[in-house]
Amino acid sequence: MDQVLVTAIAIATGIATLVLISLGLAVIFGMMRIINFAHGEFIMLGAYATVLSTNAGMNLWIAMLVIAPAFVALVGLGCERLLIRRYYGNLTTTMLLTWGLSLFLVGSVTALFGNTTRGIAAPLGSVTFGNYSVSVYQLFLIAFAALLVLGAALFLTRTRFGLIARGTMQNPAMASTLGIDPGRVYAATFAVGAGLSGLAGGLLAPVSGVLPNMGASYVAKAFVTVIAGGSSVLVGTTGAAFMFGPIEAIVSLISTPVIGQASLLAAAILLLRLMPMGLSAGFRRST
Amino acid sequence: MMNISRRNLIKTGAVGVLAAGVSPMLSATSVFAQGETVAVGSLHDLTGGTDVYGVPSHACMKMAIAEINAAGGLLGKQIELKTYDGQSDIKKFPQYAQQAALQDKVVMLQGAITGASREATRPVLRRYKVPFVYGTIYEGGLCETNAISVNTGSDQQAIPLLDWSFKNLGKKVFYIGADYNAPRNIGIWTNHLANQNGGTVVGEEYYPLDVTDFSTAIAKIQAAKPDYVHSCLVGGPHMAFYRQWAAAGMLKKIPIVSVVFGGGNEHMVLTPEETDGIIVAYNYFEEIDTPANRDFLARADKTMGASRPYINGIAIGGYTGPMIWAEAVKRAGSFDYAALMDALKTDIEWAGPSGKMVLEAKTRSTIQDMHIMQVENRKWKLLETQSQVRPFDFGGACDLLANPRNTEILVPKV
Amino acid sequence: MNYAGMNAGSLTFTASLVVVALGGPSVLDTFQVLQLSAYSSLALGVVGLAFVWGILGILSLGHAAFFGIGAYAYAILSIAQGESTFAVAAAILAPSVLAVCLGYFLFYGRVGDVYLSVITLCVSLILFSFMNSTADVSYTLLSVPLGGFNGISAVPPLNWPGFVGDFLTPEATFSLCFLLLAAVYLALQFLRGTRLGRIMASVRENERRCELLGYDPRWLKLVGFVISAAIAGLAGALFTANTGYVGPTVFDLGQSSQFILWAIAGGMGTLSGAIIASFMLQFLASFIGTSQLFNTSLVFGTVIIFFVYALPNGIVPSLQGLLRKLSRLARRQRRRPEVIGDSIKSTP
Repeated sequence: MDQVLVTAIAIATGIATLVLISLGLAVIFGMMRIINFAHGEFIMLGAYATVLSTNAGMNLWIAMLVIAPAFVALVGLGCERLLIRRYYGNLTTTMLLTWGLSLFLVGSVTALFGNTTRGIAAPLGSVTFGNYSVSVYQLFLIAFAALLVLGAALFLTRTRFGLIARGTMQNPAMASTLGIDPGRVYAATFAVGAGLSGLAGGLLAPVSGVLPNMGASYVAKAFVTVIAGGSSVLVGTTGAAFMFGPIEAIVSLISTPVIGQASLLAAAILLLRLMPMGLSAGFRRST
Repeated sequence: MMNISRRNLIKTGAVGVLAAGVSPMLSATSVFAQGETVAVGSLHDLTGGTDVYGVPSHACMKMAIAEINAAGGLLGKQIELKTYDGQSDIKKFPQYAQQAALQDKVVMLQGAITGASREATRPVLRRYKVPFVYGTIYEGGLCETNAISVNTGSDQQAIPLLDWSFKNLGKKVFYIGADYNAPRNIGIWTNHLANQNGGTVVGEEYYPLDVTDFSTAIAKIQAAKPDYVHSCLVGGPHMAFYRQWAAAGMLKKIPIVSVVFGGGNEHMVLTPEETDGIIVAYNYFEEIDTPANRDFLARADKTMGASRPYINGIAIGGYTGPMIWAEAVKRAGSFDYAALMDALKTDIEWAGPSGKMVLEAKTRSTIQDMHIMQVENRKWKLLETQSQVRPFDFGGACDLLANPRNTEILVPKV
Repeated sequence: MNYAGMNAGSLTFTASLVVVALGGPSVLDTFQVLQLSAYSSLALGVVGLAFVWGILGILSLGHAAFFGIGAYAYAILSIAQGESTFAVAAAILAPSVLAVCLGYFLFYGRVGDVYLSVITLCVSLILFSFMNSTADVSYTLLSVPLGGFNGISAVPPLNWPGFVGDFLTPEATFSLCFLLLAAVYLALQFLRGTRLGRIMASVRENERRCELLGYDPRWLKLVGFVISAAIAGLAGALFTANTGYVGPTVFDLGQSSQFILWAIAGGMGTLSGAIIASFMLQFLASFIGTSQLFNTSLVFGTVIIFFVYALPNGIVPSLQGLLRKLSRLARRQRRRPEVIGDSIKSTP
C-alpha cells in the first residue's frame, strides 16, 4: 500500500515538474509563436534570484514566490523591448536571438557569480508512510503546480486582460482596430511568460543544483511538452504533462532511467504522428 | 557523386604527394626550446557544463607554473603556459590537442578532465609525441607510457573507502551513478569489492547526466533497504539528488559514501543540512593539517587572491601535475621526448602539500596517501588516513616496463 | 532546362573552393591543414541543412542525427574492416535509410511544420541518450565497443580505396574535403536551378497551391530530406576521419543548434552563405577559446545578437546588398536592383 502511494507521489512530482518548467515557455510559444531558446536561462535566473536573496537574509517564501518571478519578468520585459520586439512573426530570427541571449545570460552569470553558488535547503521537512519517507516540499510542489494551472485558466478566461491577450494573439489587426495596442499586449505577455519561468526556477531552487548551466537540463523536455501540447496553452501543456510525466516515471521505475527518458521522447513522436497539430488540436477535433 | 570523387581522388593524390614533400615533419618536439621559453599546454573546460571541474584545476596549474618560473625556470628556461578552453565540447579537445602539438609546440599538455575528453585527447598526443599529464581523479586503469596520472584512479579511492564502509557501515550497498563510462566502471569496482568483503550490492542504478528529478530513485532505494548508498552522481543537475534525499529525511537514516562527491564542490553548493555526514575518500583536501599544506594554502591565497576557488581533490592535480613533470624533466636533463620517457622508467618522488608522492614507473600512476573524510558544516573532517596507497596493477596486467605498447583502459574482474 | 542556380556567383564560389583545395596544402602549415579539414567537414554538414531548410522550408532541428549516424557508421566500419571506402559508403547510406523511414512517417503523415522540427529533435535526443548508455562493454557492433559517453577514439583516417593501411596524408585529406565540399555545393546549386528544384521552392512558398497544380509535395519533401541526410552522413564520416574521435555529443542539442546557427547566420536560402558562416563562426569559437580575455559563452552570445542586429539577412545576402548599393552609387543608375540568383526571399 505504502509503495503504491510513494509511486503515485513520484508520478505526480514528474507531472508537476513538467507543468512548472513548461508553462512559461507555453505562454510565449503558444501565444506569440516564438521559440524561446533562453527559456532554460530564465529558469536559471529565477533560481539565482531566490538563492541570492535568501542568502542575503530574505525570507525563503518571499524570495521564491515574489522576488524570483518579479525579477525574471523584468528581465523578460527588458529583452522583449530591446531585442524581440523588432522581430515578431519571424520564427528563425527570434530563435537565433533568444539563443544568443541564452549564451549571453549563462556567460554573464558565470562572470558575475562564478560557477558555484551556495544553495538553500528545501523547507518543510519530511513525512513517513510505512517504510518510505517523502519530502513535504515535494507535496507542496505538486499542490502549487495544480493551483498555478487553475489560476492561469481563470486569469485567461475570466479577466479582461486575459481576453485582450487571447484576442490580440488571434488577430492583432482586429485588436488594434478596437483600440488595443498590440505592442503592449505582446510585451506584457512576454513578461508574464518570463515571470512564470522565473517562478519555476525559484520553486526548483531548493531541490536542484543552482548553477549557471542548469537551464540546459530543462529546456529540451519543456520544448517537447509545449509543442506536443499544441496551440492551446493551458489545456495542451497540462495534457502533455499528464501524458509524459507518468510514462517517464513508470518506465524509469520498472526498467532504467535512460529507457524512461527515451520513452518520453518516443511518446512525443507517436503523439505528434497521431495528432499532427498537437494534443490540444486533437482534443478540439474530438469534442 | 562517386564518379566525381574518384576523379578528384586522383587529382588529390598528385597534390597530396607534392604537398607531403614540402610539408614539415609531423614531429612536434623537433623544434622545441630554441628560445628562452618552452611552452606547456593547459586544456581544461573553462566554460560550459563541466567548467566547475576545469576552472579550479587550471588556476592551480597556473600557480604551479608561476612558482617554477619564480624559482628560475626549468633547466634554465622560463615556461610559457598556453591555455585552451575546451568549452565543455568534446569535439574541441582533439582539435586543440593538435593545435598545441603542431602549432604551439608544447612540451607537455595537462587537462582533459572528463573521461570522454581524455579519450578524445589521448590518441592525438600519443601520435604527436607530447607527454600527457592527467591531473584529475578518474575511474582508474589508465596504463599508457605517454599518460602520466598524478592524481588517483578510483581503485585508489574505492578500495580504501569501500573496505572501510563494509567494515563500519554494513554489508548491503546500493550503488547509484551517472550514466557514463567512469561511474559504470566504478560500479564494476563496487561489485568487485562487495565480493571481496562478503557484502552484497542490493541495487545498481544509472541516471543520465541531465536528470534532475530523483523521486523514483529515492523510492527504489527505500524499497531496497541498503545499509549504505554508494553514490557516483556527477555534475550540476545531479546535485538535485542530495537535496531531494535530504528533503525526504533520508540523510539521517542511510549514510552515503562517494568517490566523486566534493569534486564539483558539492559540499559548498549544498547546505549543511543536505550534506552533513556524507563520507568520501580523496588524496587531498584543504583541511589537511600539516606545515607543508598550510604553507601551500598561504601561497595559493597570495597568487590566486582571496576569492580563489576551494582546492579539492580534483583541483590539486593542476598543481601537482606540473611539479611532478618538472621533477621528471630535471631527471631527464632535457625537454626531449625520448629522454623524458627514459627518465620515467624509474620511480619519481616528490613531496607536495598532501605529503609524499611517488610516480610509479610500472604504471605511470602515483602512489600517495588517501584520506577518508566526512562533511561537517561545509568542511571536511578526517576519519582515517591510509598511507602510500599503490595504484592497482590489475594482477600484473599493467606493467609498462614489460609491456610499453599498452594503451587500453583496464577494468577489474568482478 | 534553365540553369538559374548556376549563375556567375555560384561558379566563382565553386572555383574558389577548388583553388583552396588544390593550393591550400602548399601554403598552410600542418596544423592549419588539419584544422581546416575538420572545419570543412562540418561546413559540408550545414550545406545539406541549408538546402532542405532554405529551399524546401523543412526546419530539421535534429540534423545532427544524420551527421552523427554517419560519424558512428564510419568509425565502426573503418575500425572493424581497417579500410575506409566501404565505411564512407555506409556513412552515406545509413542516414539516408533513416531519413526515408522518418520522412515517410512525417511527410506522408502530414505532420505540421514546428511539430516536424520537434520530432526530428526528439529522434536526435533519443540517439543521444541511447549512445550515452552504451558504456557497458557488452554493447558492441561488429565487435567494436560503442563506448558510451566516452565514444570511440583512435578512429583511422581515410585510406586510398582498396589499399588497406595506405592512409591519405593530411594534405591529401584536406584537398579531398574541400573538393567534396565544392562538388556538393555545385550539385545542389545545379539541382535548385532545374525544374525539380524550382518545384521544390514552390512547395516552400505555397504547399497547397503546389499540390493543386498536380505535384506531390510529400514526395518532393522526402527526396530533399533524404538528400540532406546523405550529405550530413558524408560530413559525419569526414569529420570523424579528420578528428579520429566520435562520441554521443554529435547527437546533442548543441550540435543541432550549431548547424542551425550557421545556416541562419549565412542567410536563409543561400548555400554559399552557410558555408562561409560556418567557417567564420568555427574560427571565432576556436579563437576565443584560446584567448583568455572573456568568458566564451558571453562573447558568443553577444556575437549572435550582433549578427541579428547588424546583418539581419545573414552574411552573404548582406554583403550582396552592400555591393549592390555600392555599384548603384558608382553607376548612378535609377534602375531597380536585379534579383540575385543565389539568394531567395527570406520571409518565413
